[in-house]
Amino acid sequence: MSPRGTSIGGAGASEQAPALLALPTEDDENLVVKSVRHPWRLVAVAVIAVLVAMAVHMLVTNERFQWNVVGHYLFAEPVLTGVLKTLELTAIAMIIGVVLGVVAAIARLSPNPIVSRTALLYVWFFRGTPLLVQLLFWFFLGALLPRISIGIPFGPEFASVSANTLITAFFAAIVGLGINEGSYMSEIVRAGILSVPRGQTEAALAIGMSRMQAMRRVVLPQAMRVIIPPTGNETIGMLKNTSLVFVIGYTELLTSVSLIYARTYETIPLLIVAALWYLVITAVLSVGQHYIERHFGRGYQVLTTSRKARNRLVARESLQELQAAEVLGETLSSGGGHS
Amino acid sequence: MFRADAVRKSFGHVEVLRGVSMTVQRGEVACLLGPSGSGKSTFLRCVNHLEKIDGGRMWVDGEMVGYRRSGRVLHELKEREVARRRAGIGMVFQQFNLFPHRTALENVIEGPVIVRRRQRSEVAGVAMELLDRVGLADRANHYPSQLSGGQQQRVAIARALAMEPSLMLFDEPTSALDPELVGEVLDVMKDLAASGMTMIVVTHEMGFAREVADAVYFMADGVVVESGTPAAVLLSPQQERTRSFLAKVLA
Ligand SMILES: Nc1ncnc2c1ncn2[C@@H]1O[C@H](COP(=O)(O)OP(=O)(O)O)[C@@H](O)[C@H]1O
Ligand SMILES: [Mg+2]
Repeated sequence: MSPRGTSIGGAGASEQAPALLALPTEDDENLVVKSVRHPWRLVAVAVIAVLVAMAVHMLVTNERFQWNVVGHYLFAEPVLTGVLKTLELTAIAMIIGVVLGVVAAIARLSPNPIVSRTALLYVWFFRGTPLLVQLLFWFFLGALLPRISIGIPFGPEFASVSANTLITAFFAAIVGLGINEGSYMSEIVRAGILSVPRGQTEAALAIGMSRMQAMRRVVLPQAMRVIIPPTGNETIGMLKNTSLVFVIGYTELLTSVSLIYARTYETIPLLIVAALWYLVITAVLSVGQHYIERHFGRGYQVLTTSRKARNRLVARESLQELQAAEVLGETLSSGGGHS
Repeated sequence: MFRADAVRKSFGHVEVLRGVSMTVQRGEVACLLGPSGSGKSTFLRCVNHLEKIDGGRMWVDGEMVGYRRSGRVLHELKEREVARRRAGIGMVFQQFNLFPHRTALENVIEGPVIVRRRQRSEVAGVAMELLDRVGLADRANHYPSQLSGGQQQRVAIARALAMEPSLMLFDEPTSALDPELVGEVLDVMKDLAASGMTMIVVTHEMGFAREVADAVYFMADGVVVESGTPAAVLLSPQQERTRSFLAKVLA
């Protein structure tokens, strides 16, 4: 034991400075650190490993999965066309949805009650009716409005087309999916806008920005942090919702494979083909989302410092505290010695 | 330079400003004191037209706030015109309100580029000079989250100055700061006052008011209870309300 250690044991000194009990001695510098053991983690890993092995075994040995058929169709021409159409529908419908969502969200927050109620009505109607019904409705719009015309409302027409020419299955699909998506997106965007403190808008107005400039330059970029994760969800949801357009006879990924298995009866392998493609696209979208999140996380890095850096910081601080405590301890013990 | 004449403002049925008058000459600093809830922030926000007044008149630089007069008619200003006038008035907030997604330099550049439509490259030099003036040239590329409160507030002052305002409004600029950071912000404000900026400052920093202000206004319950030179108001207040407030603040 160090001399200081002994002095701590002395009755006189410990009365003077009980805090000294916690102070390190010279021995402490060469100690071996033993981390906490996590035996249950090993058990969990073992259980998961067994389950995965069983699943793989079942997938590989079960003839009925017909992996050779899967391989045969994975890159088949109609399947790839289906993939492209699915991507196209997803992208266009999401763009329409996001634009409508932003407009409807801003309208919802408008001080003009007519504007905000109209936005509310839009959200209520399109969230409140089944997407399938909406798609059919758009497709059969031709039956309700035989001609669609451009002109002055209730006045002369400049041009008019037969609704059935304009409303193709593709048109009905993107309009139906996009307008439906807009109603969901508007709630996401509205939550994002409301998450930005009022002071930000005021600061923007105070330097002379218009309301629209403040929204575009200051509020929306910050709202994006809140908007993007649920929008990622929406995009992935949309990817799969596009399969609903089979009801209006549009051929995307799932419809393409169903057309094939309707002919060949290789139902399971073709569904696996579709599922694999959906999984791949979802993975790509998730990676994209990660980068977009990072982009809009600018200025917030301090909150996301890597754990390593933070640990280094904590280590440095606790070292300083320790040194400070030692200095204090020495002062105290020398003070104690005098009395 | 600035004149307010019997300004009134209500929120719902509550009258928050009940006839506030004030005159500030070019180059002068007016300090506004008063208990919380007395309407100081509301008054500053009215000057900047962030709130619309319900009665009275205000002029900044000879232009009536919020209205344009032609003959015997007062026309309410359109948003564009309101924004143009706001651009000529700097405002510094208690909570800094820097744009967190932009660096210090980008915060300063934002106004000139977006509002005045000037070239980014041309403004950057001026912005760096302003950051240097508030002692933060070496922090130009830091995000607000990487700056201390005092540094953020100094960037906020630089951001306001970048619009070359003729009047600066400060709403308790040091109230959200740790005590050891108050001094650096007050120093910047003192320099600004010494350089001839016209300022209206809401503050509880009595030392600043005594040293820098040309006039002190004590507000309570939406009216100016007492006003005069710092010496008169702070050292020998005539009104009981002023005395009891100062006793509390200086205690
Ligand atoms: N937007 C608002 N809506 C309703 N009441 C408000 C609003 N802003 C301020 N007030 C009220 O006005 C009064 C004065 O507030 P304020 O001007 O912030 O006082 P001070 O800055 O002197 O503390 C307070 O009672 C406050 O609650
Ligand atoms: Mg206030």
